[in-house]
Amino acid sequence: MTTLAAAAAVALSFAAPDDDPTTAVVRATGVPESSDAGITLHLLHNNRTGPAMFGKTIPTDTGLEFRPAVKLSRGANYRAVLHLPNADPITIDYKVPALDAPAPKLVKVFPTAKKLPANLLKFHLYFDQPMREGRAIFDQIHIEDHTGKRVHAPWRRQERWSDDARHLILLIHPGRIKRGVNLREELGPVLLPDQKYTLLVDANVTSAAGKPIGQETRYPFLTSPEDHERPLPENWTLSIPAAGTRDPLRIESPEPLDHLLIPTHMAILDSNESPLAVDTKIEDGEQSWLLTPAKPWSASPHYLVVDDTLEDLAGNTPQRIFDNDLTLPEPAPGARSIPFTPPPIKH
Amino acid sequence: MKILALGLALTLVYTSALHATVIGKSETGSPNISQINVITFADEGVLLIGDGGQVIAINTGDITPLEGNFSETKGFTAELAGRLGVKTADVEIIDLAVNPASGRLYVAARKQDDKSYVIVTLAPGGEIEHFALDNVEHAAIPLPEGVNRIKDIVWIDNRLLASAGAQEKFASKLFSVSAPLNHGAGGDVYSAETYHISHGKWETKAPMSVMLPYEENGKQYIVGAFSCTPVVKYPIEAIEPGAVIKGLSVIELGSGNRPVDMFSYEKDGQANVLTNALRFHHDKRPYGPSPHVAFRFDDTILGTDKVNEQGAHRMKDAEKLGDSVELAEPFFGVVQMDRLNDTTAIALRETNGNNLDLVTIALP
Repeated sequence: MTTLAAAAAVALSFAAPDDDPTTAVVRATGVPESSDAGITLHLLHNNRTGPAMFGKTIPTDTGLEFRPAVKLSRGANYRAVLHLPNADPITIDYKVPALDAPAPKLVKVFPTAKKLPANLLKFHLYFDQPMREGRAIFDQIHIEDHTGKRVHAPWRRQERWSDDARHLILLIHPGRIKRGVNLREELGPVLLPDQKYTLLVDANVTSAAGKPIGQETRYPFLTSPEDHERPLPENWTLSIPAAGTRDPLRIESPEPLDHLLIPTHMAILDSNESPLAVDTKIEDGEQSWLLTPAKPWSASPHYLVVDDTLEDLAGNTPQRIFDNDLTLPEPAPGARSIPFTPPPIKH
Repeated sequence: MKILALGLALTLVYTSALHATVIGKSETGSPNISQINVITFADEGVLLIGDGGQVIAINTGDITPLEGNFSETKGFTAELAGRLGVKTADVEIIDLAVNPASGRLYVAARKQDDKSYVIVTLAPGGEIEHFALDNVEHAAIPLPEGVNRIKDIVWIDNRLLASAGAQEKFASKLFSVSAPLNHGAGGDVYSAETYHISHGKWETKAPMSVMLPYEENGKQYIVGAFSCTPVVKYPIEAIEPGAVIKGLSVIELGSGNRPVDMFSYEKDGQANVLTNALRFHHDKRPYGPSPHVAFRFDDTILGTDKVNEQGAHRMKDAEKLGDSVELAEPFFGVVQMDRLNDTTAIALRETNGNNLDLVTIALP
């Protein structure tokens, strides 16, 4: 516990646990019992004190204690003020130790496929530490065409961060993807086929701890024609492992799928229709994936079962394409369950 | 329920303290909020919070009507940031809502450095106060698997309805729970089909951004608005297990707009709806001095029998629509808003970057 004393008779101090100084409280001792004393706490920034922070002052055995309603911020300066009747206020300042956090890094961008459909729906950005949330992010990430010109307003401006704020899903505005939508007709699509683009992340994208990335990050990619086909499991190729092994079931798709949905939107059922525990590894630019069972395969029928809402890179699902016209007849549903039987090992 | 009669057969529904009990089985303590996407009010001063994985109903006990008027607070964001002990840039306002039982303003915000969420309140003529969440009576309603993103919530006909989707997918669902809200009890999820006037297609995946309760000829509806801005009504009676709910699109307010808030009010015997939106392509085709715009339309729009393929388009049909729909110019710059009463809205307006001003604005 760190205690910083300010005066002798009437003393004011900050008290903070060593392991988390953001939970500091302010203590006043030597305060006359009958006095109408009170403590306020203020952010001290550019030599100016902010308004009194939320919190409550409670009497203690030794005096008064002010408990802020929220945690203090790392690296910030605060000023506590003890207000005493008929006396000058007593103040004490405290700097919350800054975290020696490194600059954040953008460690992975999905999709990793060599070519992305011109009607690509989303990017996934993974950072190595929790990032600063807020709508500013939509002005800090850009798409540049091959001439270096930035594409105007490419994003749907609604934040989609993971709970730990390390993963950001950036949606390209659906109104500029769907054919016939007025936004696309007025502004054009965000991406054109067979072009070179760069996803550009500004240097001022900031971690939750307040550190900027510090350098521009560029992620070049190529586009292919728009994809208006459903990702049907019947078009996948299965390489079936031998019974008695834990070799992976390898699935290859003619097109890449959304990497985040692959593990959660398909399952393997055994002959009793019970799901198997499998580990999923995604390869080849999200175009093939390996499902490794926790236990060896049995030489009995199994089923690869696919959820209707699994998405390819353009948001098409096995059920319908992304900009489906509901007035048209429903397409043939196609199989959602692919049977396979691991063969016995040949000796 | 207080139902505001509006001549003819059209009514807009406001909540009051005459409803059945909102919260049934509850807990007292911290509701463990992981994030706040939206806040709104049910009856009896019950605050509804859309969290990432749950809807939390909190009994605020705030049911005594307050007197007085709100005064303008220049730099409300900076004031709030200071009260939280951070710089202005380190706080982001998420949503605001007026408690209709008391008239008190509630604002949800995120402290950016530690991703903590706070709710503050403001009474007419008062100061910003912290609404402590560490010991409140509450009921937490978990969202079903695959639904983890709340866009908006309304309380209608003793029922909580939420527009919801999935964080990792572009999807649209309606989540419904009937009163009383019991801690830990789940709800039902429905799919909806919506005709988007602007591009002449039926949609199933576009999420509804904002919602509003509405009643017509004794039949209750939810009015929703989507990006690019179709306004759609859904009959409540259609929201039942197994049903695909088909909406009736009544107007399209303009492409490139993402609705943020929507409420109804009565003026001169006429029911009106005000909705504000972020204009997506303000840079290229501005409606005014700010990308934050608002539209007013009256109940003739909601009551029209020209729906879906025959639905009106604000830009193309301006002459035909006359005074029934307009761009609400006094609301330029409004980022968040709610209805104070039939004459006044309270709003956060952008005039100086992200340091928003709290203002009251006469309703058009």
